[in-house]
Amino acid sequence: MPEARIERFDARVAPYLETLFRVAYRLVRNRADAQDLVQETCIAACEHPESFGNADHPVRWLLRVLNNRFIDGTRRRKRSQLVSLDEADAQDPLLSPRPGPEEALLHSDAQRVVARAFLKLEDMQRTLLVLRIEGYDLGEIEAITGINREVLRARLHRARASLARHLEQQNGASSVALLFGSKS
Amino acid sequence: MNCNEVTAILDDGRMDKLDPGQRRQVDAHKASCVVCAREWNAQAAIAALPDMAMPAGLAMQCRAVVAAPRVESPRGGRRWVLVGSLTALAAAAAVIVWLLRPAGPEASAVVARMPEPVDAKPADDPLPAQGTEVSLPAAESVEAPAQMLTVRVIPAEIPPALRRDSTADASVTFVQGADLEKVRADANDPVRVQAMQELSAAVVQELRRIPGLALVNIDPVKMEPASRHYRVRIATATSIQLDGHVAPTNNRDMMVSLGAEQVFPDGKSARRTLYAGTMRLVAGCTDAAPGPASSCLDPAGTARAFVAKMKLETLPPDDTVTRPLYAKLADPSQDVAQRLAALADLYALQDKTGEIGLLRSAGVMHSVIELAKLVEPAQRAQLWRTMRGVGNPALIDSLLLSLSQDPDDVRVAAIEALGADFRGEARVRSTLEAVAASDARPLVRAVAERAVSGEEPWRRYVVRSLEDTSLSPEQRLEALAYYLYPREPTGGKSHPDYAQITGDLDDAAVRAFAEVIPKAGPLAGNVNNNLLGNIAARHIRNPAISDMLLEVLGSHPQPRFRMGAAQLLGQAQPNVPRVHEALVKAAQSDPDAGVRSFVRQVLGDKAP
Repeated sequence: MPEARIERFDARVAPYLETLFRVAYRLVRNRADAQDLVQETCIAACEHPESFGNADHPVRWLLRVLNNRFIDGTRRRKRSQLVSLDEADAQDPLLSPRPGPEEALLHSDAQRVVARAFLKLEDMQRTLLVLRIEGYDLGEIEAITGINREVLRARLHRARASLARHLEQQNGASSVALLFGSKS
Repeated sequence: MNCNEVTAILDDGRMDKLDPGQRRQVDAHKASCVVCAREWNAQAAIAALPDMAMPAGLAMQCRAVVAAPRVESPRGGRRWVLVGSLTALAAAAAVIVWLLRPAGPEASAVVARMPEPVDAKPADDPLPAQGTEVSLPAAESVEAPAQMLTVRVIPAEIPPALRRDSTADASVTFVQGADLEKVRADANDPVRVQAMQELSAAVVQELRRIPGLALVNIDPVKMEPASRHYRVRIATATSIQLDGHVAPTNNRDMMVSLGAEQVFPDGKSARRTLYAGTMRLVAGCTDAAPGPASSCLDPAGTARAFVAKMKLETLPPDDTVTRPLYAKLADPSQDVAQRLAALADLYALQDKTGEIGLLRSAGVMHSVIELAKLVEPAQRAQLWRTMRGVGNPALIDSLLLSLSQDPDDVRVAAIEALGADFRGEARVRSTLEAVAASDARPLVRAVAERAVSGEEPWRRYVVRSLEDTSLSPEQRLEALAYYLYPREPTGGKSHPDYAQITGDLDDAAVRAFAEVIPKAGPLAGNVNNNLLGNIAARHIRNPAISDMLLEVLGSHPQPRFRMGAAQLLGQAQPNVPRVHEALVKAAQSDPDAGVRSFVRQVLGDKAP
């Protein structure tokens, strides 16, 4: 029944769309893939009304679904990787040297380095860091991911350590070198 | 404060909630504990990444998706429902997938196997009407023949097409509500709607001109591994300034983004062509110079330029692209520079599209050998670099001649080509060994040794020369710079193992580097600042690097270097007394006002 699904969407899902998109974008750093994740989460919510309707914390339920879709969707998620602005040809008269919409938001070399390093993390490591940065406490992260709280601490530690390592491996320099030149 | 307490702050997300006293304790701990500092900085870096505002049409898209009837995939694949989420972009809301292959029964068979709806329209069919919903089948159910090439025109996904007066205040950020209202209003602007429709149609029209192009309805990333798939994206665009604010534009222009990429069955993509350009919205005017630079609305010109570029950078090159280049290269009546440019274009075509073999023909080889006799030495070096990897033995004599008589830079290029392609040849090997043993120039000897014996002796040479105090500063750095910034025909590429190479420098090498880099004059390619910044950042905890940075901060003649040193020191060791002291001094008395201001920013609330 499309009407019922729409009603459910408007009442129970739409209020959390911004949160869902923000988390999804932080996970995949790519707008199109983030939109896919959000769409799939919406479908799940509207096609499992009992499970979703009985959830005490709708947003946690939605984030759990989104995270599951994220974990499951590696292949699709990888189909669009970050586009480097270096590849834009500013010499062409057609072109503006200004960056495009998605890419421009990653508006510094330093941030591109960080984003690339983040995308090298394992899926669950990305999830944990994103939920942590989103402000969810360990209890909430436990509810969303199903990972025991003590294990969570260890995994967060490993995620940060991995990220630091990837950052150091990126172009041989941390982003602090930018003033000297971004060409590594 | 200890490691457990710092970790607890990170785990509990209290980084921004510390009082000044706690903050000082954390800073003090980080200054003495590399592990905690790394983790803290990593989490802070992720938190600082910019978010993207929710696309204005996402709610509408999701609503349409949940309302759409479910189409089950035979393998349980997900449903694809793509909806024009705002009428402004309805023209681009259709999903169009192209097959590029010679028309024939096999292609027809593929189309015939497609579940409905299958879009195999003739070339003059219009695009789907505004608001069309296209429900794609699960792609796993579709079989694609080998050698198929697909291009998918992706729906523009409601990029926030902001349009602002050039005099408008650009301080409004992208995510503020007022701007989103403006985005929605602009997205419904009939002029924009029309422009995007025309641009989409024009791009489609241009793609149809490529021989063998047919339309199917399929998600190319889920096709057979043997296939070649391409994706095209057309969208309006927004320019964000480096400060994060939306750049002002005038009311007559629309930013558009046109992207193309090759996508692989494993989901990765490559060979991207990306444009962010401005399209004029002044319709119905005439212009003496139509095309991309026109001051009138010219979707056809924009589309032509885009597809031409796509053919050069993304799609496998076809005859219409390569034939004129081969002709120009072989034409003795052409200016030498024009012929070299044609060769460079062929190389770029090969490099960008991955279509190997474009330079292997006998005709190309003949032209290159002829050109090698005509050009200046520097151009000859470029020739050798372009031909490296081609491996045609007809080139050996020319390379050996160049090695015997050209200036050192050209000889190095000749050695690289000889080593890469012909070191198995006895006469090449003996020549390279002789050069490695007795050439007057150390770098030439080392490059020849590398060509014969590989990377290990070369790496030793790089470090040895760096530490050799009998050489001038430039000579000491020459090999390192040559190693990290190899000279490629396309230029601008650093060594793929840059991180490892710089990270592997031992303490003595780092100390030698720190000693010599501030004294060196400009190196080839002017890479001094990159070398300094990257290696210093990599080895920031080495006392010699700290000393060097302090020296640079205090006395380097170029403000850019002083600012870089301040940045590195300020981020890595802000609480070390002598660093703090030097930064305060620079903030107060650096001769350059820009440097003083910058250092004050580095110091933050500790600035004098």
